[in-house]
Amino acid sequence: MITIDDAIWALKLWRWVEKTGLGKRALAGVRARINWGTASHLHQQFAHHLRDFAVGTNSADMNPSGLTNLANGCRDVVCQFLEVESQAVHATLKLIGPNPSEEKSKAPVYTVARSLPLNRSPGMNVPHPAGENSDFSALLGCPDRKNVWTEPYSAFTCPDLSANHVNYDCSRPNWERYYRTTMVLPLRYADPRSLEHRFMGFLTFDSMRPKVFGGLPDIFEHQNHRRDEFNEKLSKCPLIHVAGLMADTLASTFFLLSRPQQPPHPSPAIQQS
Amino acid sequence: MSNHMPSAEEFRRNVIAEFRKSAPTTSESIKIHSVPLEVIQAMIATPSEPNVIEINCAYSDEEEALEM
Repeated sequence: MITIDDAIWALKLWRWVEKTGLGKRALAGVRARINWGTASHLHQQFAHHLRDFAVGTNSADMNPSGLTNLANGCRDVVCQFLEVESQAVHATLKLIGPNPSEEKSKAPVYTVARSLPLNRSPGMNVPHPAGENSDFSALLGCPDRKNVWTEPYSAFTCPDLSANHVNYDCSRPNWERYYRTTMVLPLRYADPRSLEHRFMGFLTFDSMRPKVFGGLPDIFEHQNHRRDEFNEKLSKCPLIHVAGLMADTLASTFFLLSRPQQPPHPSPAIQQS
Repeated sequence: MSNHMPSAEEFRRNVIAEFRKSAPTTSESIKIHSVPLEVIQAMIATPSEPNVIEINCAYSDEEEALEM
């Protein structure tokens, strides 16, 4: 039986060890061991697959198998971070196609890659309007069919969607058969001239296991002008920074692949001649 | 480069401030960068590819197999 006195004594001893060279080295060793799994997966499962996808892509072939590897890589990084088996989480990459309407809620969202094994039928690859899905709407700051998201959120996280099935909107009415928790990040960048944020898609993770993503805040508990509080809680979660690193890197790659081809500028040597 | 090592509290505040700074503040500051349809279509695998792998589906059940 550990008494409070024992715990206080152990804490004092730990603080003393922490200040010594040996203690610092031991702590650094523990931290390195903890970080090693995620760092190696970010390098080998995500960065390598992203590089292979980009290199294997040209104007005629956008390399779908490379995209599947990339979705698998994103899933593997998150599973390694959470220390769960890879079947526990499913990842998708989604892009926003041309929107004839000015309304964000009508923006068509296409799923371009899914991690394997699939957790649902891939369907006909038809786009889903952003406004039929709470996750896309919350990030874009537009209404869905159940909520008015007046303020754009930095990510959509909900540890237990089943507990929020009355509020959660999804194009797929039988979504509860496939996932119970989700984490969605935007693929976006800030335009350096206008400072507007431009959204091109989403990186999504979901799972049948409620709360598998750890201590991420529940977005439905932070509606009605509590966005800043939600974002602050989000920013303290290591997982959101790992997933955000992948989303921002993907946004850079997709930006380069999807922008109109510019004619190359003539070099100064050619201009002179 | 500064040699100042921020305290844990300073570091925490900096992370939160940076996180807030990098996010859009209003819906009006968000615009869509739509990806050309031909790029999206080229990215999506042909239907025959994923259906083969669906056999190993993690959460597949009989009903889902019938839907296919």
